[in-house]
Amino acid sequence: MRRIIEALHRHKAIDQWRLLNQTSTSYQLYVIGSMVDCIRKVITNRYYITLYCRHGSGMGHTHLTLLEHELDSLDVRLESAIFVAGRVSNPYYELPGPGYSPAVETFDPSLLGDIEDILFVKLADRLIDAVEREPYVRLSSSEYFLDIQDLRLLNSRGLNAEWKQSEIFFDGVLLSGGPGEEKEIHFEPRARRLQDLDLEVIIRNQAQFARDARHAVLPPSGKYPVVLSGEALTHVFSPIVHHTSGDCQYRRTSRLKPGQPIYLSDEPLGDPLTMISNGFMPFGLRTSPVDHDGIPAGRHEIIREGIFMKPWCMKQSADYLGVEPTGEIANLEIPVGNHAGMTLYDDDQSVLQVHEFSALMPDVVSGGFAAEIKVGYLHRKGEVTPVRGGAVSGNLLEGFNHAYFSTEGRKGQYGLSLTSFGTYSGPESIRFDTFQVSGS
Amino acid sequence: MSNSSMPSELQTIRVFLPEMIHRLESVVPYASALVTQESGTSLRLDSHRELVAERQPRRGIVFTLFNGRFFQEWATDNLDQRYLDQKIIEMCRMFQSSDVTEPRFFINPGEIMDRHYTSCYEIDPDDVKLTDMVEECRHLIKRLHELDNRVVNTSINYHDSKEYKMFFNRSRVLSSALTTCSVHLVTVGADKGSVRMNFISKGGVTGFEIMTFSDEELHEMLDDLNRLFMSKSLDPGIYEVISTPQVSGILAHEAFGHGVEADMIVKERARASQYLGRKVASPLVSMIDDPSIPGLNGHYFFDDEGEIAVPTMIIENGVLRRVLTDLRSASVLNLPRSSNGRRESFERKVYSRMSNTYFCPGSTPVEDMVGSIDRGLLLKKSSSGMEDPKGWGIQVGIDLAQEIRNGRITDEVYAPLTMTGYIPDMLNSITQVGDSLGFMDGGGSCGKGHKEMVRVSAGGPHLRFKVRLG
Repeated sequence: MRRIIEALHRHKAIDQWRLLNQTSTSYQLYVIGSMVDCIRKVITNRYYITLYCRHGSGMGHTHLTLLEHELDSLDVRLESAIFVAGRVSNPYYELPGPGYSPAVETFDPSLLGDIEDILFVKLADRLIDAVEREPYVRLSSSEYFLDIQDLRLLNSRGLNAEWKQSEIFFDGVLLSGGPGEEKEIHFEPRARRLQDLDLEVIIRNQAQFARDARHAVLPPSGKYPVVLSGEALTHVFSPIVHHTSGDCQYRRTSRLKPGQPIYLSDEPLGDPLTMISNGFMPFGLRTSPVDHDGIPAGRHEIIREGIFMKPWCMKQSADYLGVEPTGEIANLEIPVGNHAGMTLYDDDQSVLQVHEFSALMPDVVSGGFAAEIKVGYLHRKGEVTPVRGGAVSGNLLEGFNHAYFSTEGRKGQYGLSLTSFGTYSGPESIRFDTFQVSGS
Repeated sequence: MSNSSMPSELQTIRVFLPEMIHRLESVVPYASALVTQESGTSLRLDSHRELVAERQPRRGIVFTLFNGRFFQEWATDNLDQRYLDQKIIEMCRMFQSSDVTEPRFFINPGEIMDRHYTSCYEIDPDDVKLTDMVEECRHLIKRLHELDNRVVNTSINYHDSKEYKMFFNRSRVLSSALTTCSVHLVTVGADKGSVRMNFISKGGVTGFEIMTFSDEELHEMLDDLNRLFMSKSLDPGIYEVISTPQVSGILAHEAFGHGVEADMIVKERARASQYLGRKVASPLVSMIDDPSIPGLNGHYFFDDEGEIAVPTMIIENGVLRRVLTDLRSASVLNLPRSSNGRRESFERKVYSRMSNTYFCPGSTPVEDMVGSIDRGLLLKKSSSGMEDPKGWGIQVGIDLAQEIRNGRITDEVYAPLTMTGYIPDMLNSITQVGDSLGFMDGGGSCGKGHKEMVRVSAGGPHLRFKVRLG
């Protein structure tokens, strides 16, 4: 690091710089059925440098990445990067200075133990045992990733933040059903701590989905209430996150204005939305002491009771807009609502619960989406029928005009004890009354 | 054989690595190594902000060792010879003291080969001045804003790279140098409180020549953007449709292609295993995966396990003929090897992966296809889909569909839509196949599930079929 910092100081054309050193070790285990398919270990050490050069009234910046054994070519690479940064021009902005770097929880010390024991015994064997206890399902394959990273972020204004983070990820597939009619359920939980991956709960839930898939039917077509729960909530907020970004405000591509309601057309009929970016959430996957720029973690209310309070902003957009930077969007905290979960299904008409889409990829600009149902249930007058196939479509920006939040907070469909999909803490279920269902 | 198109550091590795493989094979039945290096330029400009940077370089080596029962891999981004030498000693020591058993299956290292390959392009991006690249992008942004006053932001993401790859096993030393270029042009328009976005992508294993946009292309993008402001939602149901080559490509790739990746058969996740040699589609349908097609985004000369790129006929006249294999799946299942063993980078494992996957063209002119439909839809644009190899379910997102009424395409537009259903039903419902082949524009990439991204392309002719839309 010292060698790089000295070189950065030596080049007078560099006005500001940021340096992130990331050393990573990744342990990977791949299992087919109960047989080991592959074991991998990957070691990397990288230096990510961003340098800023002033020219005229503007400033250009560029990124370069150095590997450990490339340090001999450091000066040549920096000269080249200075040239590159001089080709573009943006309004000037200043990197954050040294400051308070909050202590946040991002690393699981139990991962410093015997890695083979963690991968084989605490993850793979435990998962295989859990599957064996479940009737009518079997394990197709499972993959386990255990990543440990040491990070240090410095900049030319004296910022110096150092932290360690861990991530455990696994990818599992369960099969259920007779020959030729088997259905699969694929799940990919991710957490920073081993103890947050409650494998037994995960398998119990996923096994039930797999068994239900065997006799799932298409939902009826029509416009009727849709309750999203579990993994289906993963990308529901992405259009709102996009439109409330400082970037989007600066580019004037947002439909939302600070101080104004987020509801674009009709008066809202459902529960008002509050959305908080929470960088402190213990072991959240978007928790870190500082963001990429070096802005300290914080807890920022972006939307309060349906009113867009302030954009979440990285340093560059914040300086351009003349507002306080919040840092990158962190974990989403959504206060729970006033409706007991089961009451969301009380209706004269059918209510569709979607627990998982095949892939929910909304157009973040328009808010439009259409996604196939992978795990769902049709609730009608107390009867619950498993549903698979068909699609739900609508607009996620307009959907919150008429949405109801459950009182139950998400404990996590994957059994994560603190966050649901690692980046969200909020209602377990949200009911939308404006979506369309395409099915039988 | 050495080649001057390889960076000098990699040429050095080419000299010492075969001996390392030899040492590893003294303790395990099979060993190989893959070295990759990727570097290039990345430009991200929009109406308000500019960034030019080197592409995050990916350089590293992965050693693959088969111990008779399973694979063990060790990977690093440190290519220093002394460091690697030390690691080889440690690996040899570990295997000498561990339980290397009689192999469960045998690995064929292939015929002896020492080759180098270089991809083709018209304009080497390295020969284009950075200043000119930036000016080109700024000019393009200005052109779009002048063409339509509803445009509030235009962004350009441009990437070029030189991808170097070397593969070593006891029979083979293969290397390649590929030049790739891609550009993604996104326009955001605002009108009466609504915001819509449309895009054009171009790219592949090609050069800077892709950075040319005709007025016709830009007008079409803006026309579609304006159509999106008027788009309606579609009543859910089964519709007679015609897919454009881009949408046909997404269907070939997502709906069927993932299901013939043989690693999924090993995991009993692919229904295709029960259909080899059986009818899965209308007799009008044939489908190929071919990494050897120059220029396309899924092009390569050999896969990441040293298999030379050749086409694989997957469906021939409606019958499922072959699946796509990697080294392990071909060995375990005793299937012919195809050139589809690919990994995201040295940091990830190999799987069976598609390359350029497409439906073969037929004989019907597009005008005749449109002219023969009383009421239906032209599925014009799609940017995503999701595989379901076990269930053979379809999820393909349609970004823009236009109504066909009485044999003509109207201005009635629907968006967004999702195509769902059962793949064999869809493939068997194909009644017309267009006479010209097209591929998805742009440098697309594909994941396995939600990870393991590799560059791919897909395409086909216009196809006429029935499908559920909602």
